[in-house]
Amino acid sequence: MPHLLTSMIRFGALLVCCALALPAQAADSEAREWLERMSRALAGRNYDGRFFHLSETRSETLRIIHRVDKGKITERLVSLDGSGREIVRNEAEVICYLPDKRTVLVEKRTDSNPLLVALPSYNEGLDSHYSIEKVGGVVKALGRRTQMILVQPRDQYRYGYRLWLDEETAMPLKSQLCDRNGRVIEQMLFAELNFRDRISADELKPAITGEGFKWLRQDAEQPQLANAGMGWNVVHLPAGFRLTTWRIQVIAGSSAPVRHLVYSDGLASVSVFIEPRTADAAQMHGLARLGAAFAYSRDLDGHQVTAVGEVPAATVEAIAAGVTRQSGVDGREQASAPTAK
Amino acid sequence: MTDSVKEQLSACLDGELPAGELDLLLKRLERDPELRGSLGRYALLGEALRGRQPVAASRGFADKVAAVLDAEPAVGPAATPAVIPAAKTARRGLGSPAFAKWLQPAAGMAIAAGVAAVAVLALQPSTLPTQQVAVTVATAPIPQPATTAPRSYTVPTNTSSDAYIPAARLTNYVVAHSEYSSPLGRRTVLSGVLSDDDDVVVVGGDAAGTAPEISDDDSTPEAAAPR
Repeated sequence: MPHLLTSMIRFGALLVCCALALPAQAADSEAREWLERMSRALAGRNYDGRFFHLSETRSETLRIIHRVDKGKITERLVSLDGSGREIVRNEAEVICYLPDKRTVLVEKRTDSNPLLVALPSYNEGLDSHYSIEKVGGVVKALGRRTQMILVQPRDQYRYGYRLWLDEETAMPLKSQLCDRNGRVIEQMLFAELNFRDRISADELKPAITGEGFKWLRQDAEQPQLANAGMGWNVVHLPAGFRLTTWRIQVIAGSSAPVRHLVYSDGLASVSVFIEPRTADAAQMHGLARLGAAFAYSRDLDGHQVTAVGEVPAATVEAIAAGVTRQSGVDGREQASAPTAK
Repeated sequence: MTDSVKEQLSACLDGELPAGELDLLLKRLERDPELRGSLGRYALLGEALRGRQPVAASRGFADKVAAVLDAEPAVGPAATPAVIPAAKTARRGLGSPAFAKWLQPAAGMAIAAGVAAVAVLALQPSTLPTQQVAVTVATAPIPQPATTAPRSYTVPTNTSSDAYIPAARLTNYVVAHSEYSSPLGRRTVLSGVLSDDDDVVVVGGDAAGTAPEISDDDSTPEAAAPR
């Protein structure tokens, strides 16, 4: 009997401990669940909306039409601010219509997985590099009840987010991309969002044909090679980034197939593109920015190495600087990279 | 910007603009680059202008804000000095006298809270001692990682700098990369591709001379970071 009593006391103590320990844990996992719900909503629902894409120096009004039909995603993103630019993305390719530059850019998707399968799952590993919190109670944003989720980076190598997720659908009605110090780099803000049962194929067609434009595309067969990442490596990666996938890819605008290595910390991702430099191509070097994405390029051993991602400049610089070529694989380069036609 | 447009923008950001008016507003934004330029700042100001109740931010946030406030030199409470640097560093639309004039009455708490739908929300607006903090933070166009020495950050079309990545190549890479981003990261990146980049700011060497407020701000992040 005393034994039983002791057990009960112990059990009780254990319960108290659990009760004390759980809220923090539960809150974190709940916040991560909100992020996953958001990803599923962004990818998996049918919707049609207009949103503002805002930074200190630019603001754009964009329309998004997103359809999931029999598990297949088609998406059309259109600039409403006069440039006429739009992007149509489906299971096979991403096509960017840039009428102001009289250019159409086609990137073939090389991943054979349907887009819906590739949704990220956010696990405890993220906690080492981000603090992810569900903040406060219900906040009204854009006239809807939203849950605010705060994703704060723990170092300078990644960005954070402030998200106002629709309570009902988990769609990000408002999202802010922030740096480590909480400064807003840019934000996206829905002015209008409609969930629709049906979206017709016509609505996903671009408003322009691209006729008479310069089409940047590579029609060569995508080389599929198991050892695409071999021979190249990144040393001294910023904490938490690891190689998640690699392939040899034909990219519009590059004359030879490109080695594409993807590094991710679970939330942010950086692509490393490595291609042999042709004699006539000018050498790229240094840092450039497109929207919230930074790119850093450098020459290495007759190759052009470029790191690109929605991360701070320091991250693409560090990753590009860390790219190394392993010795003794010189011959493999030619053998594994057939020239595009 | 007239009051009626302001009201429309406000209602729009609240999600309370009737569909017909929303169409008109979007068309108007399409025609009027200056109005578009104002929108970015307006959206940041939005919460405060519309008297929205602050959300409860985390303690870490409050600490961070306190650190920023501590790190900033105190300046007078007048709104004007705070507004001028904001207008000066803005590249499009925001620099117009009309906008600065419109901004002025809103000054104190509006700008402060606008900084960020940010961090400041944990504090009552009245407890914010200066506008300077807010403006410095709000006008920094690009994050300048504390670890990088001053260098030329440039858009690819800029040839005066030592960096060189042609715009078309950059777009190709960014689009190829986007397929490996998270759904939200991808939308961010692709929206950037659609944005008009003809007059994107050049940050770094060139801009440093004209925007000392930004370089001043660069010294604060380490002090402000709680970790």
